[in-house]
Amino acid sequence: MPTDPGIPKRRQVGRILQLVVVSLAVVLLVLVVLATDRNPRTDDASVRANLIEIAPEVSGRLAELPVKDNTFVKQGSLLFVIDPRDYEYALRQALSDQDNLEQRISDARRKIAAQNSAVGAARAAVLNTTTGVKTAGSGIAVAQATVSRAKAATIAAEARWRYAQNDLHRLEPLLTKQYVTIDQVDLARTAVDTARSAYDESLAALSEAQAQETQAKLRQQSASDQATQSEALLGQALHVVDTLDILMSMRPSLAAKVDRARLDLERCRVVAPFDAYVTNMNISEGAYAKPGSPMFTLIDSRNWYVIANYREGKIKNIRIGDPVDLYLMGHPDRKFRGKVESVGFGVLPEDGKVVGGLPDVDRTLNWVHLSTRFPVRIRVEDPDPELFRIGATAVTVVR
Amino acid sequence: MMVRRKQVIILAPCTLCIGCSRAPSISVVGSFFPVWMLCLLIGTVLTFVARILLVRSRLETEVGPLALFYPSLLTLCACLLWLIFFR
Repeated sequence: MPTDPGIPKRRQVGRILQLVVVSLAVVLLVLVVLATDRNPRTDDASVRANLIEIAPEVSGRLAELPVKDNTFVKQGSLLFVIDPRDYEYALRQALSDQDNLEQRISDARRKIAAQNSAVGAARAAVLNTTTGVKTAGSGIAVAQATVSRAKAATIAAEARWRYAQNDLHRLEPLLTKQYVTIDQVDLARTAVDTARSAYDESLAALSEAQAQETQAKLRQQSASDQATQSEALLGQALHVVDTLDILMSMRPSLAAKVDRARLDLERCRVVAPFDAYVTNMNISEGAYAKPGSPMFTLIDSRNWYVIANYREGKIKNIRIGDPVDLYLMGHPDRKFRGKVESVGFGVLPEDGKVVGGLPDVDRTLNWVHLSTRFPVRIRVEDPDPELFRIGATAVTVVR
Repeated sequence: MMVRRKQVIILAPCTLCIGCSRAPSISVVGSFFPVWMLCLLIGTVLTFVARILLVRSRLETEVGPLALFYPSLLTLCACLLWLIFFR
């Protein structure tokens, strides 16, 4: 068999080719494994954003509904208006109640001023009657003095009368012996009569003075009764004076009612709490809004997240703050930047069920265990508001 | 010719490092397939082409056990494609 000179050379080239191909394959395979280990990637990721369900705080029919489904709303722009008439009326009622109270307070103030004047009058009456009592007291003293004088006058008149009698009795026996004239006896008799009448008169004057004294005493009694009465009246007037306490204590309550009515009226206009997308809106004007029951959903467009589920073996290479390359499957040619914000601390374990008070453990002969995956929250740093949608499929590569 | 070869030798590792910014998944009729499947597919095609070339140049008999050589070639092509385009 002729030896072909090309054979050893070809054999040599074949050897080199084999060696190069096999070793390069091993090297590249190792590189690929290292790359996927150092930069863990997953296509089990989806876009998320915070969302709130917009629920009104007051009830009523929707009067205006300027937003539409799947539109963007700026922070503070009007979402819907609930028919405000009920709340306007309630506010008016509360304001009128407040006004009414103020009127009642000023009315009560006037009344209190009048009652205070009455108290002053009663006080003056008390002073007046006290003076009356004193006057009556001095009247008694006068009357007593009069009585004393009358008594003294009576005694004097009686003495004069007795003297006149004695004089007459002395003169009468002398008449028979004619020592005295008849005229003298008559004169003496007249003197007796005169003295007698003077005595009677002074007795009458005494009686009158005594009666006057009694009258003065009664007058004093009456004056002191009047004083007592006027004091009682003063006490009554003092107690009758109204106070503003009750009306004043109603002020804060009514003010709170006004504030409440105003707040309810403000709550008829519902505005967007942040820049957001409207979604899940299936209502029109006239829908009945109930407090706490959601009307539609707002997606917070300020922050977008991607939740990527990574196998537990890859978690060790993911640190908080690591940069992440993000791709949306709807736009595979666009790369977005993200940052690892947090790594989930729990998923629902497969075992751990408790049945009948005892842990339910399966009988198993598993040699191959599938690794658990934990959600990693990645914040998107340059989201494109046109492309990001909650639930969109994403692919993430942690760098 | 030599200069160009040198450039290629220098630049090849660089392309490995740079990679390409494209999503590592491919949408086929509404389903997303991982790119390594694509790499494997193209690698298989490339291996078939390589086999034709080897057979033409009568080298196939000289590259040792084929059961080792062709899987290695397939792995090489697939990994190279992945490292260049999808790392």
